[in-house]
Amino acid sequence: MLDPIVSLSAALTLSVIFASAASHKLKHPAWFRRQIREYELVHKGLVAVAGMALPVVELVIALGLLWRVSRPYAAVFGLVLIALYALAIGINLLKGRKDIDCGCSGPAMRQPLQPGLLLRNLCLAVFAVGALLPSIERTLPVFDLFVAIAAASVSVLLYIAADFWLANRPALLKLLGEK
Amino acid sequence: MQALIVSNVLLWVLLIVGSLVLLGLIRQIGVLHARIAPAGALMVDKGVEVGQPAPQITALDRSEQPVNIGYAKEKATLLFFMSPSCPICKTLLPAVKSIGKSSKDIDVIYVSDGDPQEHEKIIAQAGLENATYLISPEVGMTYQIGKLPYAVLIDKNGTLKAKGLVNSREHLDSLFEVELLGSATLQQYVKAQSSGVHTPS
Repeated sequence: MLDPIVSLSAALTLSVIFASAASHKLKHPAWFRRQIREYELVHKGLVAVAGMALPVVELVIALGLLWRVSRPYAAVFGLVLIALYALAIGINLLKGRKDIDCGCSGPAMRQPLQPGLLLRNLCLAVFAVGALLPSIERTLPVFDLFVAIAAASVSVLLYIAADFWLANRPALLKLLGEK
Repeated sequence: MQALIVSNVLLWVLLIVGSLVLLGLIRQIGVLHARIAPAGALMVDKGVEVGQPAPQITALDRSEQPVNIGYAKEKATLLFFMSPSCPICKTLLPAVKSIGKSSKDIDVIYVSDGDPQEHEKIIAQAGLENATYLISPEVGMTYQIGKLPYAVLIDKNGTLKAKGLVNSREHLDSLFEVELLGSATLQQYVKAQSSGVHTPS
């Protein structure tokens, strides 16, 4: 049994991450469709459907994580989606296609596929599990809410920082001539 | 108890600020990487050499008006070779546009090719309605452009002054300095620089 603070902050973090992922996919639909095509895992006829469905599912998960009643369900769907993305990255990595864009963080931040991205998804999965596990029934006073929100903000900031760090790594390796 | 709560709140606030600073730092490293990306230093450059008369060609712009390229004119000309399917070209359009606006003695000509509908979209996006925009693969072939985005600077007399693959605003600006640096192309300059610099590893 987790303390509700842990489960709430994990859910909030994941919710923000999913919402931002959905927003850049909805803002740049053409970019996202090209991204799906580049992964070469979805049948050509289904690319348009997947391009629309994935961000909508992400948005629904982001919203579902906010309420206590829907949280476990949203977390399960989130976990499945994270696993699917990890699988798609893993398959392309195994095929040796390290030159395609990950498409993880919007068109503004390009980064090639790399094993580190699987670690990133593992970290997201930990958040999903945190939101999924049952928590102790207790009412949260204001201070506990503050702690949950503060912890979620720090997690989101650190997640974005780690994402940037991952995106910078290939550029650094290229610069040092190790790629 | 009061003191503990205050200390806890303060620690959280400081931790958030700390994370923000960390994020900012890592972001800056990313921007630096984008800025120092080599300008295709090993690219084999083809076409007319710098200092020679530029190839002369006439092409029609979007409103079917003939545009002369490479002839002696009142102003210098900056040819920007691009394509709607090239993402880096799009990010450079504002920089090219501002060069056209800020310097009165330079005519900027956008040379593009590809799908006509895509052109309309990119023109609307970048606000190039009044710009000289050619859809002409012939110009690209005449100047033997192999990679995009590529820029060519031609002076008033029709002499090719500088050219090179441009990946960032800095590369674009440096075209105007290439003459002063004494290198024929930006690529040669970068190559000469990098051979003298020891790369830390």
